Amino acid sequence: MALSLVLFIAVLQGATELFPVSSLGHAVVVPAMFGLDFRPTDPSFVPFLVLLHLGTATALFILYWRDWKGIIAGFVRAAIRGSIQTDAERLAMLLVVATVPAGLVGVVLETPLKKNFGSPRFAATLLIVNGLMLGATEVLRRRADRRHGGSRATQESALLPAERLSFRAAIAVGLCQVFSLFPGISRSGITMAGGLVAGLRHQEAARLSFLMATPIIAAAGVLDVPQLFSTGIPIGRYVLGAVVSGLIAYASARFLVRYLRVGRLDPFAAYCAVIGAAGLIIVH
Amino acid sequence: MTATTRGNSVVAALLVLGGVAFVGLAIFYATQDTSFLASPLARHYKHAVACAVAAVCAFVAANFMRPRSAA
Repeated sequence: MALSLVLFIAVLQGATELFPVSSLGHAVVVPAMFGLDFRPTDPSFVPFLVLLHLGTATALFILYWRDWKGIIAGFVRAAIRGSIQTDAERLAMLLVVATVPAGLVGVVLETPLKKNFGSPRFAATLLIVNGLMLGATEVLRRRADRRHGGSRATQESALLPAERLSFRAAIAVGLCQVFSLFPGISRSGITMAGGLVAGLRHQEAARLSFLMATPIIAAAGVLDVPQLFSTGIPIGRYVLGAVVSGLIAYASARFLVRYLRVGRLDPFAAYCAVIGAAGLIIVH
Repeated sequence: MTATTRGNSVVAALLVLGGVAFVGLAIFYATQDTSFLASPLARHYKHAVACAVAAVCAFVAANFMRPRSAA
């Protein structure tokens, strides 16, 4: 794969991984739309994407390293004690409960799920579904916000931080994340939508989504990277791609968290519907 | 005087059993040739890791569910 294509895919992946627009959907649809030599059926497709994901996971870990220190320590304390006493311990256990479903389904159904990567039209259709899902979530949230009244900032401050999510809601958000194993359904999008429906602030829904994504992305990366070395491909270029992807993802996450102080997911919903429709028209 | 405050010993015991089963599965997947299963891979390391994680979760859940005594 040419260096320019590696960098293009890395920028695409980094920019789309944390925005609720499905990076996997873009990795399947965009090369097909522009006729790029990046086929989902290539043996190095998934390992290369996983390496880019490792860059993203590293960016997220750096962005939330203070949270992660508390979460890891909180998990160990709560697990040994058998009870939850602090917000950090509660957040740690919420993340465990929310992460396990997608992790288990991803491992058990890995082979059949990968078959979907070869169908850009399927991914384009799911991008439209993703847009509709984000739009519907904001319709529901607007109804709730009208009841609170006041400015957007006041409406948001009346809602919950991630630590106050119920365990039942965390399981539901975790089950939602299972659908992101299909290309076109955004992991961050569907988990943010779940968090918003459960009553989190936009910014906190994004934070929970990013915290949930980090262990899954990192684990998938660590487990799949050996495949990348066995295929005899230019590893230096791919690692460079992972670094670029991580830098872009870091900037994207910071932008998104700031935007969601008062912003909504509507622009991403519209974008997904448009790019999905364009993919369906262009890709045969 | 002591009193049981919360928890369920039956559920806790079942979770421990589940955890032990997951540990067994993790060892099986990591050490045995499983090409007789649907996948042609001889070793299923990802399945082994997933089972190990599930085992830890089951043991932690069992610890949360065990009945405690309060003075």
